[in-house]
Amino acid sequence: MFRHIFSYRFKKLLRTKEMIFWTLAFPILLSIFFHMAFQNLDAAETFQTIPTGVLADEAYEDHAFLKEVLLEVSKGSTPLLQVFEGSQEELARLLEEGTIRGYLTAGDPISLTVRGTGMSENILRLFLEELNEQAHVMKTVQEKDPASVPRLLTAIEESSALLVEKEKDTAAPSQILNYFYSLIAMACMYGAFFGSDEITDIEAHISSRAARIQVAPLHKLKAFLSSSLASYVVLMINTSLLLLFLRFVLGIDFGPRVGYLILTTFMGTFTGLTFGAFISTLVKKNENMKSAVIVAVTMAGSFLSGMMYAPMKYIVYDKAPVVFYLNPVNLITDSFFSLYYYSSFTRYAQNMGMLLLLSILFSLGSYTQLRRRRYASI
Amino acid sequence: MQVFKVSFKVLKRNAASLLIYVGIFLGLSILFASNSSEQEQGYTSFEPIKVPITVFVEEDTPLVQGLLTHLKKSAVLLPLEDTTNQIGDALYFRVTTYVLRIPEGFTEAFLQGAALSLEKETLPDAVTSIYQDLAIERYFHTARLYQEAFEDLEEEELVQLTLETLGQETPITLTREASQRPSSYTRFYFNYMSYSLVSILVLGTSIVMLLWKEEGLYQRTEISPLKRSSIHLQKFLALGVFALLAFFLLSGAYFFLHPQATWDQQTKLHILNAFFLTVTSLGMSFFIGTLLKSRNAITAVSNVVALGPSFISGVFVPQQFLGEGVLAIAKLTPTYYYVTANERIAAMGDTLDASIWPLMGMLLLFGLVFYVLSFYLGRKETKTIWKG
Repeated sequence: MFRHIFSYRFKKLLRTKEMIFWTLAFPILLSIFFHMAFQNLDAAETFQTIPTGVLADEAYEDHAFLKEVLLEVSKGSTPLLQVFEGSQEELARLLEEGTIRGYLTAGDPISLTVRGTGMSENILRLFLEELNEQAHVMKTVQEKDPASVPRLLTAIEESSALLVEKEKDTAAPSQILNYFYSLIAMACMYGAFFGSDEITDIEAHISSRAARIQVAPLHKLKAFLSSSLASYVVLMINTSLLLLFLRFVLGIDFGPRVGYLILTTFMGTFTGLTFGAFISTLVKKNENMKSAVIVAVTMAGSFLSGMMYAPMKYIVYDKAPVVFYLNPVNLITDSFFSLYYYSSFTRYAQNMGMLLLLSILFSLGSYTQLRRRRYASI
Repeated sequence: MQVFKVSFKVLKRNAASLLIYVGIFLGLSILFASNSSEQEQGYTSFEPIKVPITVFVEEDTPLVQGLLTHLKKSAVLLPLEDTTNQIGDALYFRVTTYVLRIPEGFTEAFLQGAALSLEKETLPDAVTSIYQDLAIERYFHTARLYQEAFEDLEEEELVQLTLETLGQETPITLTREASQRPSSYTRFYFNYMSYSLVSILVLGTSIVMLLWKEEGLYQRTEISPLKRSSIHLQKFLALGVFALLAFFLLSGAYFFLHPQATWDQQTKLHILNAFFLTVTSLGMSFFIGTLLKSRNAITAVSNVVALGPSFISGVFVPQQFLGEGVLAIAKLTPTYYYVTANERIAAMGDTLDASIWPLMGMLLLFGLVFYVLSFYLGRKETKTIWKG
């Protein structure tokens, strides 16, 4: 009997197009849009050599120090500047075209001409200020104590690297990943449609299929478990397909812990399923209302876990930790995130524990609502 | 006006699911408004960019205080809890971009001239890291120079001299005429409005159009003494009124959420552009409504046609971050022309940028194509039902 119910349920689910759409086709479509929209997100903040002009006049020809420094900073694999020398008109034209971000004019102090106030222009400003400062230091020292000048010159020559990057055990902070993590989390939580459908199909006053099952000489819990198992299997297939699509079609690198990633997805779908069942027992009205509640809760949850705006996840973490740990979409997202980003498993285990706890609460909630239900008339 | 009334009754009954989109949009707008208010002054001179950084200081000395004073010129100091999770998360989500740690005993060692290092946590290869590196190194480099030059300098004097030198202005000329910085809130509002507007129109229109395709209802109206042209006209009139309501609701909310908004040329153009989008989206909705066969598909289709173009045309992610290939695809959607026109309007200041007219023209052209297509398909469909 278990197998009978399982296989019929399985067939029924595969034919319910809307549920397959929300748990498989919609996340896949959305992931394609994400991929198209966010592909340059990480590259946009990477430093790129700043093309800079320098006015090739007499003052520049005489300014040995500036020449030397410019040569120094144009070396290396990603140099700070790429220097173009030219006349006033040439440089003005290049600046207007956007070929260079600004140009320097030698003198005392050295001055800068730019077109906007972006990040590159600001780096140019700092670079130039540093050059002018050395001249200023020199002047101050000369005024106060000319005898110290030779010591100063040796000090200018020696410069040691002061800042050292901390050895980190976190993975590369690729911003796009959180968008995909919350997308998978959303797909898992849409498993709620399946959970809700399971309940609809055992509540005899709502569907005729449920009425038929109610009169069957069969233990209700057993029937419910076997049909829920069918739902869970369909969901696992859907989310696995989604993961495969993300990994191999869009080429998103989730890091090395693939086994845990799959485990999290299966845990997430389980929470989704039990959540749907719980909502379905709570909302006594028609099916449309149930779907509306599921969509609203999942969407709000996805928003709070950063699906539309990634820093939202941090804001909630910082300002409302209770919401952070009660929002199942966020718990799933954060499980993926901590798995990828941190080497320690503590936070991951916490999240998974919370997910399990929520699933148990949802299941118990539905069970106490549904047990021993009898119908005098429907 | 029976058809008109029934159409509106159905729209009213579905008001909840339509208003969700208004709600999401307005919620986001309020959230964004609270973030963007300080970025809106016009700019006439060179402004240093300030990026959020975090400095953990384990000792309080004049040298360290001097550094903090200096850093405030190119950074906003953001306090964080000193835990791996908090720092890691803050860096990942770009809440802070640079974490510097000054250990106890640093000042003493520095003053004695020892070779030192400071620990930093940054976003690898990011432009913001280079910016802060330059700012921090300048401070210590200048201090070191003075220290080497004047051997018996007091710490306070050293810091004072250093800050004085760092306060020297480097002459910067800005070639572009002082222009108005595009108001980020207005741009955001009208761009996001397209998502909300398209969702609402597609959803509402499809619900009404499918209603009149229901077999019983279709047959009932066919045998009524109403002319078929009158039925169509009433139906379209109802949807036109519905579209106008949505347009007025969303553009009106702009003035509520943004009290400092003025009725200037830019606002007028933004609203005109939004009106054209309404006209075009209504055409698109007719087209979709003609194609759809089942109610269950409505939510799915409206989600896809509203979200998709929004992502690739620059509503959610600014166009400058999108690849050329993506934008080439986006050009096949009306949203692209709407967003591009919005961006130009937001950037143009007081002089009218004539390049917005062709963009608005393209937007309307899409609408025209949709109206023609849905008219053609609609006629074809009426005939098939008639024969069946």
